[in-house]
Amino acid sequence: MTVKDFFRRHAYDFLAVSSVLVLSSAALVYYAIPKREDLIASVFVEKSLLATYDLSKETTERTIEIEGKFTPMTLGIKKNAIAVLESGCKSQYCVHQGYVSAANHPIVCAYNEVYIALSGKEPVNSVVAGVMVL
Amino acid sequence: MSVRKMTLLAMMMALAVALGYAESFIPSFWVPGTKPGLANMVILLCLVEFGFFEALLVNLGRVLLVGALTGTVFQMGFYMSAAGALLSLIIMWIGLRYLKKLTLYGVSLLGALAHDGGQLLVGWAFLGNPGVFYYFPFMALISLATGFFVAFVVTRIVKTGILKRILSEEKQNPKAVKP
Repeated sequence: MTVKDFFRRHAYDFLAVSSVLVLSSAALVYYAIPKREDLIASVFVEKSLLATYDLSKETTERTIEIEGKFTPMTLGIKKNAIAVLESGCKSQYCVHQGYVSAANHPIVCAYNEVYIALSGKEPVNSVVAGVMVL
Repeated sequence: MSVRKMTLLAMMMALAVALGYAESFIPSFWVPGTKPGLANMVILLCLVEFGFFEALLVNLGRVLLVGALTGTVFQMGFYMSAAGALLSLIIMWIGLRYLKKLTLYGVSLLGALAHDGGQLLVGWAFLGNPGVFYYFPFMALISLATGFFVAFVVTRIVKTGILKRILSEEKQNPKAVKP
């Protein structure tokens, strides 16, 4: 098989691969853009909102105990960052993520059905707020 | 279903379970819960050599047995695994049957992406938050590598024609295999 035949035979495979590559890379580049913003962490257990923490107001590092679906968990909180420090789950994926400090980057513990959502805090003097006031 | 085909499918399921169970010991790299998808090799091979229902049988058996071995049956991770496996199988079947311009490489990639999508859909249903799709671009990039590897191995096995040869031997000499 010549190189030309090879590319002709796999043309649609290459199309699929390059589409995935381009779209995923674009998303990752977007994720990688540093965004300096104050964060709010919302902790959900089995779809129910357990607590919300304004991470921008945290001055020192502290820990919080929560009850997951099956085991207790320890969360670490510091200025604009949150982590799962301890969990009774077998995989420990949530623990290995360490401190997360980017908006929209979730921390998930599938075993305990815990979802920690990070969102950017709306600045008071934002353009939107300004327009509304005007 | 002949005894020979049933035995082959049982061996396929055993291989898929062994690969799936071995994978559970491999630590995730980069993204939580991502695995190489070695068991998908067996499923794709079944789909190519036997058909949809045989692959479905092996796939469901594999998900249930690996779940039982790892002690995660009927937990969220089990449902994620099952949904990923089912969606992946359906998409690969559609790819093989209707997207004739794709080779096994493209079909395997679609299957790997569907597996990711199925898992995240169940994650969304359980956690009630579509934010789990944050992980999709990471998983998709890993799927490129794992999908290629799976297709590479399956293409090599299919080219040897070993499964077709075993099944055709039965047709040539049916008395040899019938009890």
